[in-house]
Amino acid sequence: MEHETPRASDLEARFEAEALPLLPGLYAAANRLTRNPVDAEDLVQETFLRAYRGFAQFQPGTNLRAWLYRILMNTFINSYRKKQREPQTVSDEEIEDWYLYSKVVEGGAERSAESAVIEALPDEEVQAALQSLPEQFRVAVLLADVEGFSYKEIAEITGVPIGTVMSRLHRGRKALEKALWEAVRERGLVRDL
Amino acid sequence: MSETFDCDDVLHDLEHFIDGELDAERSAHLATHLGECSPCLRHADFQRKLKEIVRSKCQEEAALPGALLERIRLQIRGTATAGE
Repeated sequence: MEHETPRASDLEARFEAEALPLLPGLYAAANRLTRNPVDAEDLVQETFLRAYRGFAQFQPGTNLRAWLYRILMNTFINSYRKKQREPQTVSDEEIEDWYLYSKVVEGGAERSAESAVIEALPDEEVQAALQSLPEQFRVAVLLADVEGFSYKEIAEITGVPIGTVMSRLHRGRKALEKALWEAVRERGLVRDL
Repeated sequence: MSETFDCDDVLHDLEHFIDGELDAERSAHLATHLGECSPCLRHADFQRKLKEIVRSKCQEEAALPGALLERIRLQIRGTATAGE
């Protein structure tokens, strides 16, 4: 090794000062990923332990939040996803682009009220619509729209090329729009055509 | 390059524009078009609001279990000692 290995106590102090304050956000993200508070707690604890063990390799000045999310995602994939046997595709051939906008406009929403029909959905229904997506699409939409990561960061976090991120996002959003429209119709928020 | 930027170009670029991932030149063309084309602006506003609604409705922060931070801290300290 060319550079001096940082002393463990320095690393520990830096980790506590820089990484631990990100715990509430990571815990919330773990909840959204696992959909279960007990699993979320285990996942985030395992994530921080792995992160601490690898912290000497973290480049100071780069994006610590994205780095922690990558460990969270890897831990999630290795430990939790094995339990699930979900289909990893969405059949979106029949969903046209801009599905929801067309439906809302056809449904006769007032110009000022187009997004109001979606806004009127209870939080739980929007969350359920997102959770209905197959995992890789759900994760892409979650990281982009809820966690606010860039395409490049999502590519790093999920370990796939940026083109794959864009395709998953596009298809995931279409499937989400369809699920949201079904929720809007079920609640009778627009008149049926 | 062409001076015209039409409604099809907007639809093609809109998703990346709203994500803030479109390059500066195309973003500028798209923004100019939105200023002049009210149907496109209406559509763009809808998609922007939709993204915001998904964010705000899915972002509820679960309360951090009280003991979790302390447990992680102890775990790290245990690891540090073992590593030395």
